[in-house]
Amino acid sequence: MGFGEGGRLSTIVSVLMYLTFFIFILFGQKIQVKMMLWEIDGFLKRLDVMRSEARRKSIEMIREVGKPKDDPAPYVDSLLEQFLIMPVDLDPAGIVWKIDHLLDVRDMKFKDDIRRIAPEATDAQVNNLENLVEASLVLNTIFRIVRHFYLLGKRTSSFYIILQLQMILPLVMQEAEALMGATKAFALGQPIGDGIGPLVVSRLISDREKRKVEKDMVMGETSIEGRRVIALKAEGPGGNVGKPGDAIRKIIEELEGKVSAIIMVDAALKFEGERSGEISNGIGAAIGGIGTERFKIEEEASKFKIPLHAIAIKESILDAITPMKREISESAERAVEAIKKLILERTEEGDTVIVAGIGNTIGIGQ
Amino acid sequence: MESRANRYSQAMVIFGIFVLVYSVYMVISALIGIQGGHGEESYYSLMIGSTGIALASSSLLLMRRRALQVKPPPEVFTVIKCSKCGFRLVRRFQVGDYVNSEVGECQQCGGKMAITSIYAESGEKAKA
Repeated sequence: MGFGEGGRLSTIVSVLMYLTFFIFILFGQKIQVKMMLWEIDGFLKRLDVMRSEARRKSIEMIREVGKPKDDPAPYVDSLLEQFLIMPVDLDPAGIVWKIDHLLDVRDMKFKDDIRRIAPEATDAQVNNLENLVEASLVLNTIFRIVRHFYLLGKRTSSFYIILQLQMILPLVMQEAEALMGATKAFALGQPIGDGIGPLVVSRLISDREKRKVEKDMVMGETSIEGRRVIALKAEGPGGNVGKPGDAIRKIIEELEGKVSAIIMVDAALKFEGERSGEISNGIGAAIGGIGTERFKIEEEASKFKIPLHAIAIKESILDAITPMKREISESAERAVEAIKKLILERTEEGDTVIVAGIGNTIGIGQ
Repeated sequence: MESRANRYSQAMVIFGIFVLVYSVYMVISALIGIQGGHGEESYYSLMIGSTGIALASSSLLLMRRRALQVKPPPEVFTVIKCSKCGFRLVRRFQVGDYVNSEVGECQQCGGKMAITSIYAESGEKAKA
């Protein structure tokens, strides 16, 4: 076999190189699309495994805790396909109350459905099961959306649909993995990172008398250096966020607006590179969600000119919905100190202050 | 399913090592060939061998990085404290535990023991 100048191997290599060059010129994008689809297919299979696992866990927990007479699987499947139609926003005036009403109806229906398929479950267990099924619902929705765009991109061979999907999938997968961690915490009733707000408030009022205020909210009173402190959180230990907006409004109305400050404690999303459990102070209503509760608090605070302070405990999205990390749990003491410092600096003796611990109170009692 | 994935990873590692060894052999043979005066043939072998080493090493390093990323799930602990004498107990989380629940009497002073915190910690830190 000749390998020298004009030899057979060098000719074959040269032809192969030219061939590869032309193949890439003519079919480069198609090859890229195929490779991207291959990668997305792998992600989709993982998402499918995750949603099936979450569904299995939900059904298992409903059977274990709720002791239903019938098979709960078909009911769970119907819950996993539930949706909410947001109100029309062509005329946005008054939309917050419409959204609030729809969310109340949805929440009530979801809870009633869970109670029906898990008749033996206690109230706290119903709340935990609701959280568990909701996490499974989100995983199912993520899977359906990704599959929709994957199949659409595959059918139309649209480079840009596939490219966009491939670009956001690592972030989507991160969220899906966090939700998988959350299903375990919800099934076992373990506190999650988002519960740091209620944990801080429970540190303030654990040895005080508590009373229910508004839907799923409890409040207790304490005193810090001569200031009357009204602390409130969602009612635990079941998975619950309550309606802090309604509770704060009710307390302010009961006190006829004589409140010197509202301090809100909540978990906040940290930037990459920041440490979980770091505390920072700010101004405004520290509360996430769709925005209805924040709207109510801002409305009430501005009506009575009450200063709104925020204490944020930083954590990642993964930390927020998986079992509470030690560094986040330990930040509760520092957050209590930050609240005390803020109260001393911003109020005077005899003043009344509202402290609201915002977040999911799963695994945290009063 | 996990064992199937493990078998697949093992097969890929073996294949990667085989490609790496064969590529190193090709590079050495090519260098000997260049010294022996077989110019052009050896340059092709050197090129293919070097490409093989680069591809095999990058794929083996990628597999190693992925294996390191897989962490065991963190363990969840319950901290129980006596409200009277401050005696502290840490044990593994049990279903039904929640913060602020009372869990019996203190072994030291007979005071009330309550759960003060529940937290997750990854393997090595948890043992410390």
